[in-house]
Amino acid sequence: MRDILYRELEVPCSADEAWTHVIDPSWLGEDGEWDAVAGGEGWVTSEGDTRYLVVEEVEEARRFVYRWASFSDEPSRVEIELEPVPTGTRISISESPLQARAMASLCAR
Amino acid sequence: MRDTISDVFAALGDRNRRDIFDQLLEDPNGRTATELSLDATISRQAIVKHLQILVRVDLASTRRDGKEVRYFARRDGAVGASQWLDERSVAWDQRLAALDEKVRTSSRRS
Repeated sequence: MRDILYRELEVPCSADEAWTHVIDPSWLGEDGEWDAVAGGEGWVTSEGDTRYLVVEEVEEARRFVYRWASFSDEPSRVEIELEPVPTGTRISISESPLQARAMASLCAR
Repeated sequence: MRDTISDVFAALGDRNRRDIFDQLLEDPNGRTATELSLDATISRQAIVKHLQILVRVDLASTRRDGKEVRYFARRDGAVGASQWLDERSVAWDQRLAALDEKVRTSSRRS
């Protein structure tokens, strides 16, 4: 199962403009910052919980992927993709547990 | 430590296993591999392997029925994964609402 949780949002602006908002982590919580380059690290706080993250992929105005986790929650991987549409830009988000195992490992046990 | 939620998602990531799990959910009397194979497009042997995985991740339980094994759905096995999804669904709805507001506010200013 590639995308366990999937959401979409359409915004009335270009992908370039939407990108500037997506890579500002303030929308992910109450506060936070990250180094928006592959391998960059950061954090986001929300409702008293701090999630620490590592950026995996950055493709400007198209794709942003990161892993994140907190001390109270298991790690997961988030993929954010931007796609131009006639009315603006579609932003799609998918999140899946980072430790989801390949079925080979389940079968082997 | 075993990661139950990931195991459940991995197990249900396969369409055949989801179909088998759905059939087990529908029948409180459970199903044997032979019964499941009657209308299936995959072999009984493949169904047995899928059932073993469902048992391994606690989505199914077994009971011997004569020469065969009867499989039952375990609804409680999916509770953790379901809660994981529910919590994150709410959080992402809130985050996307915040992003939407941020973009629209910026667009109005420019």
